[in-house]
Amino acid sequence: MSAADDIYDAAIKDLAARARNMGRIEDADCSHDADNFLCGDRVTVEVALNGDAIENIGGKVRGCMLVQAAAAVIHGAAPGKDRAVLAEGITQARALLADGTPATGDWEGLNAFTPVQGHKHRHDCVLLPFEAVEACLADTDGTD
Amino acid sequence: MNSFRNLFPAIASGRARTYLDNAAMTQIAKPVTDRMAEFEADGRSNVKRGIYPLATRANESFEAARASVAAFMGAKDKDEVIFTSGATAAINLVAHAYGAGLKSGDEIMVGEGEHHANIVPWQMLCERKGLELVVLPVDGDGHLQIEKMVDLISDRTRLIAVTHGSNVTGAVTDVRIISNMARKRGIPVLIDGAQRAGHGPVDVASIGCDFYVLSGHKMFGPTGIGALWARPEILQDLPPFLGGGEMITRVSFDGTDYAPPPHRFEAGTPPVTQAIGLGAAADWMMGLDWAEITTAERELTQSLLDVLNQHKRITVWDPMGVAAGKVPRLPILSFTVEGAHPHDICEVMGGEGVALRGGHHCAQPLMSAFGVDATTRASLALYNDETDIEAFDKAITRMLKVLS
Ligand SMILES: Cc1ncc(COP(=O)(O)O)c(C=O)c1O
Repeated sequence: MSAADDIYDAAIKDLAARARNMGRIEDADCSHDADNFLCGDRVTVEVALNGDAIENIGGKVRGCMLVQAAAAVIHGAAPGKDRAVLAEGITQARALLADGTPATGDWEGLNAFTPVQGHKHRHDCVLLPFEAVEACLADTDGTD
Repeated sequence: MNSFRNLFPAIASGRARTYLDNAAMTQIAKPVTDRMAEFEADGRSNVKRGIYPLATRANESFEAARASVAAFMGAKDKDEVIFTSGATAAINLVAHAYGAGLKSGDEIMVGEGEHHANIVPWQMLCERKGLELVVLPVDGDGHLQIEKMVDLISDRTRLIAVTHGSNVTGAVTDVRIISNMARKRGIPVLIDGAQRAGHGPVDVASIGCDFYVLSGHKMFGPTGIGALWARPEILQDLPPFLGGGEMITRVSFDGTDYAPPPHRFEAGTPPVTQAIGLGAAADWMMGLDWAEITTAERELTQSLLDVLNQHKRITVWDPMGVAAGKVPRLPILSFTVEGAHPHDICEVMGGEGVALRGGHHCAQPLMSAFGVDATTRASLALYNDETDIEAFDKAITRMLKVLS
């Protein structure tokens, strides 16, 4: 087994495949393109809000398996929750990647990325969809 | 074993095991590091103005390097060559210095498949001066559609900038035809030779272009150095780009007179050691049998294609319709794998010891023309051999399994 294979286990592959279910949202309250300028990956997110609750998340992922898998985790965890849950998600994702702190609660799905911790150059892939949603929601601050 | 391998410590030691990322950066040749180390140890001094013996010798070494690079490019005179920090800096220099004379409504033509280094400086120039950027399209397999050039040229076309060889597909541009067509209409041509230079000396005289740029780190030389060749009649009249020391004849607060080329375009202390390294790379390359190396590179390219073509999930973005050996091309090829992203491919292949590059390769307009976001690229240099193809073959099979 090569050094890289641990990233591509069944859990990540399964998540990445699920990213395909993330459709577009016509009447989103915000949308945002996040680019990884080093590699050119791009995540477009669209969020529909209902007050402070996230009604739905959609968009398009043009990126590697990790970007797709991270988008799928968000898509699985966030809808129906308060928008503050996303800030929690990104904090947990960063902690998991930084020192392996296991994710908990709504974000347990992030634990699939534990093997990525040892691949520092891929951390940004996992964080890109989170940053996209964060920036997207920031666009709506004060408007609702 | 390929006899060049011993001249490249990282290749010989296996640290760069199956190194197929030569289009991004080749390994550095021992004759190059030897000459740079010798200069640093025994000849180091600033260049251009010192008159003590060490300084005179340093200047001679620096100018000898310029002469080597000039010979490598087929220039008549060494002073037609300007040292820059790389191909990007050379193109920016032309965009500023030559661009200074252009007026609103003038047009610059670039190829659709260019590296961003040969697009963005022109876009910036267009913004500064109100010029138009005209795009010469590529066809479905990445070849420039030269036949469209005549229709796209107007009486406001002031420069045509195209690559000599694509860093994505390996397609070689017929730069002679382009230069010839442009010359008849009095339009200068800039050739981006960043990729081509790693595959043997070039001849600006027979190409008939007006500007030619290259980078040291893609031709077995050091990083941080490149060169611009420009036709002396044009160079003579160009204003400087960067100002400072070393590029003047006289400075006063009433005004400054600029030095003649090439010094007018080399403000400040140049990267002396790197320039000497580039000269050493040029000398070393000029001593090689390029007919033989080109044949070997083509055979290996064909072997890479044979490996890729065994697999249904793989599409090769091959400008020549697979025939690696029949038409001029560089040993660079891009492929996509159904259901696998290039970064994941590179990660798995890298884990198997095979160095590839995945992404848009700084050629996003070309990616758009192909209708893909990114490709995986394998690029060869003279030290690659059948052992690399075998490792590539094995790693591809494994990657297809891991990323199934
Ligand atoms: C075709 C082409 N042009 C220009 C460049 C820019 O060269 P540099 O980064 O050395 O300035 C590259 C580098 O990849 C290239 O491939």
